[in-house]
Amino acid sequence: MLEAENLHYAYKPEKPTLRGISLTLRQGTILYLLGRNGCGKTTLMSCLSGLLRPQSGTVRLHGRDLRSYTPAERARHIGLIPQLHTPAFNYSVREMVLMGRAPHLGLLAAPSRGDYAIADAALESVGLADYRERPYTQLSGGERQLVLIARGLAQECRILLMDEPDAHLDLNNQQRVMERVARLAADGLSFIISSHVPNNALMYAHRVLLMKRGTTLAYGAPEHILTETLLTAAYELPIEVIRAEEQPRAIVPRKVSG
Amino acid sequence: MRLITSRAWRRDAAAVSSFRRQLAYSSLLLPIVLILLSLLLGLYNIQPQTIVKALLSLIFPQAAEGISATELTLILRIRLPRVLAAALIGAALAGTGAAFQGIFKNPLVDSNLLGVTSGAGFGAALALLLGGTALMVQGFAFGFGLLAVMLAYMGSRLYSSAPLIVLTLMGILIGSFFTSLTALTKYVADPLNTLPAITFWLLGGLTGVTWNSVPLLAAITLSGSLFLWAVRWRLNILSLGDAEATALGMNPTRLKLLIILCATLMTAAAVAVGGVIGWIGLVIPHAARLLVGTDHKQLMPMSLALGASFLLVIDNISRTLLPAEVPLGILTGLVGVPILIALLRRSQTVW
Amino acid sequence: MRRLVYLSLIVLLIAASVNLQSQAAQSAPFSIQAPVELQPALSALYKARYNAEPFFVERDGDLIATDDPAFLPSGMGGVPPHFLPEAFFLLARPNAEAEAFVAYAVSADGQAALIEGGFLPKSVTVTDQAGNTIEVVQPVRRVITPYSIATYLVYGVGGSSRLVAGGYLGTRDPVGAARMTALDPRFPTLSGYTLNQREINIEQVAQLAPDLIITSARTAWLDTVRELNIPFVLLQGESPELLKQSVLLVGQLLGPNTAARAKAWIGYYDAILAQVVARTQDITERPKVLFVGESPLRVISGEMYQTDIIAAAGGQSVSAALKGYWNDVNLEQVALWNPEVIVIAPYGKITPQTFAESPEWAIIKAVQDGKVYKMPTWIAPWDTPVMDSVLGVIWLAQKLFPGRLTLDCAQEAMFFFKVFYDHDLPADEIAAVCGS
Repeated sequence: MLEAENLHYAYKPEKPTLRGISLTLRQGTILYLLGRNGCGKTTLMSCLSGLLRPQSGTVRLHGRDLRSYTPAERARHIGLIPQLHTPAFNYSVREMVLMGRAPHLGLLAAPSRGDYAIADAALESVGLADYRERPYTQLSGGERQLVLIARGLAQECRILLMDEPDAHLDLNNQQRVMERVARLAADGLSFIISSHVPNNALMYAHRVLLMKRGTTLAYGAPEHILTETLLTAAYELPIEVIRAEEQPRAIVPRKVSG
Repeated sequence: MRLITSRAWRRDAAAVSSFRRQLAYSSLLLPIVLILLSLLLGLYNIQPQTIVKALLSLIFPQAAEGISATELTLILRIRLPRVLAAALIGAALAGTGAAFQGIFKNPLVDSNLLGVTSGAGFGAALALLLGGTALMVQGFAFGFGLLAVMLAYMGSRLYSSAPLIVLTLMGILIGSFFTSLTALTKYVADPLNTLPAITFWLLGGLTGVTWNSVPLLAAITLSGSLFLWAVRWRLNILSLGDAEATALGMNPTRLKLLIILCATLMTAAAVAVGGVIGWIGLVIPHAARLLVGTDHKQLMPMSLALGASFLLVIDNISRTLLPAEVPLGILTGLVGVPILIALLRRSQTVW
Repeated sequence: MRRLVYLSLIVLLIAASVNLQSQAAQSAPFSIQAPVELQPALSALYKARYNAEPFFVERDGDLIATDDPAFLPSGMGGVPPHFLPEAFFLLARPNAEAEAFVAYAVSADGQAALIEGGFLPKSVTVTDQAGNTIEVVQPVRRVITPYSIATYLVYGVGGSSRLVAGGYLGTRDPVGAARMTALDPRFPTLSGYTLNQREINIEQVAQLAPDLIITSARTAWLDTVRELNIPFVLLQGESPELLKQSVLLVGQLLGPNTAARAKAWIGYYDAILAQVVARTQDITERPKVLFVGESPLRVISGEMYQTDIIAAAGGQSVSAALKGYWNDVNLEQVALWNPEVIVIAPYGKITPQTFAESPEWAIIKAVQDGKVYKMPTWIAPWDTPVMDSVLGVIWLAQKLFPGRLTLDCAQEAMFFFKVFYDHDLPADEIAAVCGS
């Protein structure tokens, strides 16, 4: 449903950030973007969500060029869940989710009762119905991620792009967020997740795109990509994949010092 | 410490939020009540029933019978336009302050951020220097207010990165530039007549307001407020930043430009009539936030209503406390700064 | 005009009392008739000027020097040139050389010669209006007056030849500048410096090398000037008594001639005020006057000199209870006062028309009665604490009590400018300015 073909992007012409990235996101799947800092994950996400226009290559949404969508149209299909941040003003959880209704409303319109109901339902489906009047900034990091997922649901989009949802979260919160993502994927939503935690990719990804300096190092099913050789090449660091009962269970760097 | 279970929290919070909504909308009645009360106040002693009759005479001319010309003039030509101007200017400054705080994601700014007041101040000083009429002073103040913001905006377009920071910086630069120009006009102004005129103007005041100033001020303020009211929910989204607003299907740059334009028109009109009246744009949105929370859906009407009410009260003090008028800029500072300090202490957790 | 007649009468009397022309010495360009006790001082002056002994005569001199007050013009007359505090010259007949000698006698050089001869003190010590005691070495040759009011006082006491730079009022207006140039051809030079109460270019001041600075007690830059070690005198003349004090102070600082003129002005001022009082004292209901500045609702406080002008003219300022400087009031307050007369300051950019055309002001009695006037001015505004303010009193009294005064604004202005500014006003223009 979302396809990218040979994407190129450069903030400065002499230093391209993306050099020929292609990928395909299928319905109900989770696609992980892995790679070192600065390899172009965030830029790729921005190109896919329409925030940036790739200088060459195309992004197609349901077979149509993403550029032909109006911003509101696009936002009804693709949602972006930014990295953990604290807004300047402390809105209630419900208000945050309600903002997902923006692409469905006219510029001068305020949300109606129906919009509130959709927002409440979205909160319900991430298990935070009781939190709706709480101040957003008083939630834990994991809860905030869930609220932003609920906002994507209220947006009624079928594709959610998550920028490092596991950053700054403890294991419990990471697990809570990822389990919810997995359940939503099972219900037919699709996710593209950029991450610095390959272990989560090991557990939840259907596809993995391993990036290095703006190019695709490897792309495919996790069992083919999350190998010691490829990961070592991607992170430029000796990496070990620990297996148990014939299954890869953990990805850890090898200790180099004494 | 009361332990709040999630269910109790939900119920309490729901009650709070519906209370806030009601509060925000009912607050709009406050300026209307205050306008009527303010008409009763004045140095010249006029009986309340005379005031009611005078007001009725606007609709039924025969109601004016038995009222002296002096009283009729004072009520309808002096108090009424002045009270309306105070309410409009207060609403404009507070509403635009709330809008600017939203789009600049910064609770410590007001609509002078991009230099509109400084520009307007220079425009007025220049007109006074050129020996202009009251109308020319208002026109220059309005025009230079717009010019300052336009310069700041165009200046920020020279840089592609971090547009909000650059715009803020440009606003501050352009603002100080015009403040320097104002100082220059004061330097070359004739100390006999022009200099005191400039100084008084910069302190702000509604002493000379008559019906001449009200129609344009009302048209700009009311239509501007209507626009800010309409986009009040979008302000919530804009305050999250451009990336999220874009991801939510909006064109944040265009909407912000519209809001800046609208707020600048409103502020320039307000400053043109009332001179430089500080602190309202900063203090009132904070007070409103304390009452109805950060949600701009409630914050915008509350700011408009509180701003109108605040300036009405301040102006009532200004025009009745002493035989001589106390400049508004001084009063809003004297009253506003302590309030702001108190609010900042209390509201640390609110934003 | 009457005073000029007096003056010439006296001169004629003196001439008539001398029936025989004495034998004039061939060498001296003019003869001097002076009592014995004044002769040493005159000799010193004459020697300094011509390096020769003067030719004294007992009767019928070309130039008369005397300390006899009987020779002073009577009434509110002009002031003859004083070379010593009590001694002055009278010219018996036209004589260019004698005139030049008189001019020399009252100049800084003449004063210096008299100081050297021990006839005048080497310095004067004054207490200024900020309460400071200052010793000023005589003669003062270069005075600067950043305070515009002080500039006009220096002109008024006849000390403008000692002025090297000054602040002026109302000369940004071409009419004001033209009038000032007509009065003093040096005006464009004197006014060409950064010099006012708020700003001063200290290097420029050092370059001007003044030996005295006369400025206002409210001057902003006094501390900087202290560094230059130039004596400065502070003025504050916002009442008739204080104004008289300022005039006297400026007069004392610039030599015996200016001191005499200062005293003469005080006599004139008191006489005019007394005359107005005499004509208006039977009026029990003092007319209520609102004095406004450059905008209709900007009014004077009770602490401003304008309040005294109104009182001197027989009216009462409605805004006398206000404090400080200019105050903004609202129309309700004006309606409460309900003034019978509104006076606009000479420098106000508004006109009586402004009030007449305003529907709001129509409720005020002065506007209803058409009694809104703009105070005239010639050089310094007549509502400020300058010597010209006496004309403001006369003008206002005429407006408040038409027909009651024998004084006439234009006529007095002609006399005042002749005597104190040594300047002939164009009669038709001043009549138009006075509105008479």
